[in-house]
Amino acid sequence: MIDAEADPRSFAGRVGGWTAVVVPPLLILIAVFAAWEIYVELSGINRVTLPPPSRVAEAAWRNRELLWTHSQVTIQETVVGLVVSIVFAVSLALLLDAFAPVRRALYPLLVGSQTLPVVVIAPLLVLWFGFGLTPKIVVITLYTFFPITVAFATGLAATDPEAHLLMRTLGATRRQTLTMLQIPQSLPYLFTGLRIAVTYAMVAAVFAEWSGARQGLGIYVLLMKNSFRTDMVLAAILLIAVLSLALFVLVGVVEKMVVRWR
Amino acid sequence: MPLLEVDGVSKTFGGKRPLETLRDITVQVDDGEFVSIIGPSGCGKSTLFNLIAGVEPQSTGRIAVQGETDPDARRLSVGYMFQKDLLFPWRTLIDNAALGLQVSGGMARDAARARVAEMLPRFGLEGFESHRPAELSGGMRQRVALLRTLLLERPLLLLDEPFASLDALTRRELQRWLRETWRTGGQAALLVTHDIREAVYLSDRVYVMSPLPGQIAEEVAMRPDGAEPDAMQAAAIEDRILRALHLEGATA
Repeated sequence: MIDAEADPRSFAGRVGGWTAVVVPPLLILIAVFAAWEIYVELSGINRVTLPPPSRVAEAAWRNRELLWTHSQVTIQETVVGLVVSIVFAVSLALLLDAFAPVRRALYPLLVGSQTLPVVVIAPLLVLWFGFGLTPKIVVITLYTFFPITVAFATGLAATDPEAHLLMRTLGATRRQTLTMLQIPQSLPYLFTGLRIAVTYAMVAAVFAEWSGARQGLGIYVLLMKNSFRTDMVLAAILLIAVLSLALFVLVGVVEKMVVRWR
Repeated sequence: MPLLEVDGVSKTFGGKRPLETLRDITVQVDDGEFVSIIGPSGCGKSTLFNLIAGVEPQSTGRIAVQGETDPDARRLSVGYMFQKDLLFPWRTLIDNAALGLQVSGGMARDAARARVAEMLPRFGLEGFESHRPAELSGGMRQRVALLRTLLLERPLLLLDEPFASLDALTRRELQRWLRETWRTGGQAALLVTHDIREAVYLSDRVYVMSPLPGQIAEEVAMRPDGAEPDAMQAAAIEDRILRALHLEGATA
């Protein structure tokens, strides 16, 4: 077998079965919520400043339709943004791998792009592209392309030199080596990058909305904050966390289907 | 014309401290012949294979396969089996064996699979078509790698210590199997090994190489009179090779 020791191992595979994955963090979560509830009860803190979880849950349930409407917008932006980001990142990684001069020219700039304060740029993007989908896609891509690009490019470069030699002696073209050796070999790396990227993606979408949008959880949180509805702010935040987690799990499921040899 | 001619070939790797790896190597293999090169570890045997396979240029000398000296053309006249099986973990057994047909022959996947399937019984791999490399034993993986190479149907096979990583029992079993397989219409093959018994057991002829820089110290024919060597003769040949190795080791 070709050397696979350097490959990132599947996270879910290592943790074990379903219950073993879900139960421990759930227990901690329940403990945190219980402590929070008790603290609000005992300290006598203003319930508008810090609403107890029971009140957050109640508010979320009462406004479930409104939350769902805004969620749909944010989910859509996140998915479209991620797709654009993945296409961009994968193309970029292939380009970096294929042409050493491009790699030398672009790599420092890519690293530099990660130091850009997106917080400051986002309002400008709204100014340039309006309140529609475009600035959200740009923000999500800025946030998420880098880990995907780096992970995939690392995978492409990490192929066993002897496997390359094998392909040469078989008479493989460059394209055959890419599609039959390098790309399959890099898929586990790609998914590692993706898992990092999706955890940022929804936060990036919410943040982009915060800077200007008509609908979406980001703008909803902003409106609720301005009207001192801390319970609804917290409900939306929890929802964002749940949705991000769902996206993370989804990537894991897709990985299991695609990377079947692990 | 011999199938493979290696004539006065030397190889020195450049760099700040040049390393002379091969010196004045002359080797030849005829059609249908099984020839072994035996030598201590790190005597440049693998380098010699890389030169023959045209993936590395020689410093001096001439290498021809079927009279063809151009490295790119030569590369497609040899089937090169590496020390590592180099099976792709994402491919099943049948698809790993079919890799060469798909790459080299540009064969469609189904056609390549059908071609592989015909050969599986002979290689003792029937019933394992859809297993992935991680689910196969070392011996099976090595047979898949050999099948992948053989299916290319190239005139000359280069076998670079194909059994080195296997345990002694599996190695013995594969050697026997390889010998039987070869008896029934074998291609010409050049085997690199540091296992004297393996070389004697499998070969028509053996070249003994000295330590770095690799040189051909001795050439031994297994059956000069055409008959199979008996146990006594085989032992005598082994002894002769052993002595050649030792002598060269002492004077180098």
